[in-house]
Amino acid sequence: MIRHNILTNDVARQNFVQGCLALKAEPLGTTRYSTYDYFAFWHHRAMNFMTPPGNSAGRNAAHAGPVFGPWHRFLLIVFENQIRRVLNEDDFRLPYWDWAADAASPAGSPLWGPDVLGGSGNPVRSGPFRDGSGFNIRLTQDGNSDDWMDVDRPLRRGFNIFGTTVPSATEVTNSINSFPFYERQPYNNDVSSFRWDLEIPLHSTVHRFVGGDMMTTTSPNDPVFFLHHCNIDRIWARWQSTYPQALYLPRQTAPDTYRFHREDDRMHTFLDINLTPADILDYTVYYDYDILN
Amino acid sequence: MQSGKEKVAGCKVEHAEEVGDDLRHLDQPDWVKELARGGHGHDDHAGHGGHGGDHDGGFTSTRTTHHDGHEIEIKTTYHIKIDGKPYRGHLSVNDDGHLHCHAIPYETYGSALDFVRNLIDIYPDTFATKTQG
Ligand SMILES: [Cu+2]
Repeated sequence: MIRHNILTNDVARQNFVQGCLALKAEPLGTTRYSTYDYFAFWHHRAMNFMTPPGNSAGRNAAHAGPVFGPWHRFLLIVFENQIRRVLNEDDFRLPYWDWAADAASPAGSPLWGPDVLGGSGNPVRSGPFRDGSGFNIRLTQDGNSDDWMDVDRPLRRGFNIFGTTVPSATEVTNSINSFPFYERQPYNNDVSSFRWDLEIPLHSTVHRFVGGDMMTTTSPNDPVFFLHHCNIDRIWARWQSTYPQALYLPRQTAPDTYRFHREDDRMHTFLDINLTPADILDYTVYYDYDILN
Repeated sequence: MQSGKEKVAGCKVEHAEEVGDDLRHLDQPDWVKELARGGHGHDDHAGHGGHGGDHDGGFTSTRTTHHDGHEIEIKTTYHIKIDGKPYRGHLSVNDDGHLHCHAIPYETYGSALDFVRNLIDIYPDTFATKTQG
């Protein structure tokens, strides 16, 4: 089953939008939260779990270290499964936003049209997730404590406030060509590697361009999170196909300092599932991409 | 051996018992807490490990390295107050001297003032607007 470009595949676009709305409308057990909100919660908790304690580089159970690629691949597959279930569409696969194609004018992308994600604003006032649509944010990070707090308010975006660009196709290609290795010691953001380049210049820039709820640890609150990370996963897949012999690093022989990041370590999850980076390197058992570049 | 595909196909989040009845009580997964107790993780509710938090909400970040046979240690402490109240979020300093904080994970800062200005702008749920008109 194929993951498509959301701007060229109407079925994938409609299913994605309907799926997000349906998961938002589905209560999570007896709580005030929805199945959709669960993903913002999980992301927040993984991001605030430092691995190991006190590392000054900010490496946590999902970011600023090797597991950035596999952990987000894991989260996307779980989310994709939830949309398949709630829509009863077994063939559904997440679409992606190829932001590099919109690099000349990211704010002018048709992605922000009324039939896709709606546009910028505090609150967002257009599109399927607009103020009044029922797509309310139920939990967000507390700005003063790193814990999270209950809220009940519409979605926020702020284009061009914290960043004005998204990476170009040339930057993506350069990233792939520059790094034939996935990671290197000390496996953090103090040294460059493909993972570092993917996460910092490519991935973080898009979070900053969108602004609003995408600036926080609860960034899955904005549906664009999933489209953006699907594209990040696609770039990693392209890198994998460019360097088929390259290993995921670190191997399991690396010290415990790198726990949560080694190839056979269990990845951060609340689910009853022991999934490791090695389990998920071959994504083709779950999905394929229409095109890698 | 169970394949990765079988593992993920079997996981659902729609039932409360899968994620706990109330997310508020779901601090970290039990198995993660277990590892944290062994000193291999950092629980966001259990103090800040190598980053000394003090009563004023200050954070000390320690960087160490070697140069020409000499051992170097640099401790950096930030005390930040907003409207007189200590900022209690987590901060650290990267090797390149930039400030990194949990609250704004997709950015690093050369200036702590810029960080706090952005913090207030990004978290209106926490820091209500005080500017008039
Ligand atoms: Cu993330």
